[in-house]
Amino acid sequence: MKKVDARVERNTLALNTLMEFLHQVHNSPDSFKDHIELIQALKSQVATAGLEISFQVGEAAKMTSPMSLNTLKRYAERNIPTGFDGFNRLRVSALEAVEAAKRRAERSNKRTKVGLTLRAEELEYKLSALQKTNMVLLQALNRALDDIKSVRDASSTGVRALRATEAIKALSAITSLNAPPFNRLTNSDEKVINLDEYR
Amino acid sequence: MMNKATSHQLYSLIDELTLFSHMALGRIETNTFNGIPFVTWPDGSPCIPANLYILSLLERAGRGGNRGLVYPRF
Repeated sequence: MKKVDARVERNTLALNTLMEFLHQVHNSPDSFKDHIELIQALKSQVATAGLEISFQVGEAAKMTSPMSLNTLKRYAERNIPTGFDGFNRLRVSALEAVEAAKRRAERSNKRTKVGLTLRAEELEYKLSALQKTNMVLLQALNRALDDIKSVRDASSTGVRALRATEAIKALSAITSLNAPPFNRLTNSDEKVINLDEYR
Repeated sequence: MMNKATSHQLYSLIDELTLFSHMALGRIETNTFNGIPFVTWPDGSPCIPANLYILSLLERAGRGGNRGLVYPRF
């Protein structure tokens, strides 16, 4: 077995921490909406790669370590199935979540005409996001039906195992295209997602 | 944003819909479509058979992009 280089290990850890941080920003944007430097940083890939910020996960405090964009790209391609593209989608959705939280806090309400217009825009945006999710999940469902048939009709155990593995890979890849919280199939190591933030 | 003329129109057009295409060398390949109709029932819930049909048009072999789909008008 090859020994893992300390540098590789450090960068992999840094990537995982950064991903975890972005997930947290996306899941609870309200706690980050006043962090102006963070919002500025999320707007660019370079600045996101260079983020050095501490955050809480439950009891533990964690710290992201800055790296160059090239390093980030290389490790994202290697370590996450959706590659750097997937990382970038996560960054953009974290940014959108924070900005939406900020807008919501500042202006949208149900009392004034301007507030109502903003609220309508917000809701339409959410509706279109859910429609996209619906299409993606419909595609996944359709694909799952076909895959079940092809697994059933497999000629031998080996072929069946191969088809099953391929099907699982494809289905989790399809799901990963969705915006969180609909982008992961299992959350076994996490607590149940609090849906209130998405209402 | 939403593309609906009136609130009781039974479809709206989705922009920037990113769909799975295939896996290549362990990586995911996607197609992005614009102006795809999303069909709903009069109560606003999605019409699954119609949307499945539209997905099948988008997935048809040799029809990348929007070329396979003439926007249906209901």
